[in-house]
Amino acid sequence: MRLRNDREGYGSVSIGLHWLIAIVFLAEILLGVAMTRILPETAVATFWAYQWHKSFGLLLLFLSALRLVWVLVETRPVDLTGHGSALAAGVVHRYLLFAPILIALAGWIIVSVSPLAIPTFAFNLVVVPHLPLVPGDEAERRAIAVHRWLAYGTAIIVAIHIAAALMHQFLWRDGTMTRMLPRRRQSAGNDR
Amino acid sequence: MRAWVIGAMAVAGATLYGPTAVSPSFAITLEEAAGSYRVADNSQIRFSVDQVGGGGIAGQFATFTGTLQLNAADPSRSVVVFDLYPESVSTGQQRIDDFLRSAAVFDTAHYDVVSFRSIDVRLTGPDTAVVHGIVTARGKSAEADFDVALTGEGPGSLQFRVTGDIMRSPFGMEVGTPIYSNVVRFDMQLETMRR
Repeated sequence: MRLRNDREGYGSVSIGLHWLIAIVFLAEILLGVAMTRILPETAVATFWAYQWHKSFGLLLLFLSALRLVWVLVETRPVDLTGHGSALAAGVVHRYLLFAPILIALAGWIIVSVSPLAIPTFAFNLVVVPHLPLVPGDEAERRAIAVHRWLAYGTAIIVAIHIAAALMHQFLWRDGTMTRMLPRRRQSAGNDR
Repeated sequence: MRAWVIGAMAVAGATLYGPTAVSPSFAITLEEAAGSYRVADNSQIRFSVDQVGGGGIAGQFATFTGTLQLNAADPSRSVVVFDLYPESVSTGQQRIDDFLRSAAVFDTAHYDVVSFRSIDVRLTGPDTAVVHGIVTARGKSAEADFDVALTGEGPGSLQFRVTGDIMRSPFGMEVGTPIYSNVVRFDMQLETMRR
């Protein structure tokens, strides 16, 4: 098992961070939709849905920051496409590198400017202080709008990212997608 | 020998008397103070709930009723009855008020009153007492103690400060713990008028 990337493919750290962030991001989207659109505004479940959303959002921020550092110091595997899609992929990948960080920060700003001043007690373990911002209804509304549209916009970009990965796998059969799968599957599934 | 009545109280009620005038005592005898009182509307029913990292929620209840029967022969048999209407809660934040009124906390649609009925009154000092009784909220009851101090008296009126910590969990109102404390701190200024 190799931790680091090389020209051929991704190491376990890159693969692990990619999938952890993918899972947490998906869970956050579902939780976010549930707590703002499905659950009643005043309910015990809604309160806890928000608190879990905040906890996982901070986890996402931590993982995404780690991933950003890792990408900056790591080798980038060579592009396998030869389809001229490398440019599009580069733009999408860079966006997805920064997007979770921006979304999580926007969420942190919401709880910091909310007049409700509900503490952030991540996973009921760690008190995460509010950012030093001035609370207010209007500031909260704006932060919510930024957070929401960044998140929904990013979900669309993720859908494009997934569609592109599937095209590499099943249309072009160039092995691009299997490089990001766990190692054992990779050796079984990579038919290059 | 002169008896000084000193305390009685509130979401509690009591009275006391000491043999001599100790500093904050009042020039009214228990016999003079004995009788029936109602809690006046200008009383203040404040509460707070601490939160992790400091601060918390603080608010008050604007609507309540209460009576106090001061028993001269046996102050421990004084009786306090107090009802507060959680619909009247205010914290300065509409969304928090709505949440407190909702089924998540007070469920005011189904339970419009939070009540206190005293069981006994224990004198603890020249002008202080502990009132022990039953709090009922959301259809559930639990015992509670309130500390009562006589803080003033006037013609036909007695003033008390009443403090007490009530756990939320016995009433099914523990939402938010441990982010918000399970303990609600009450701090009340009761103005009682002779009936």
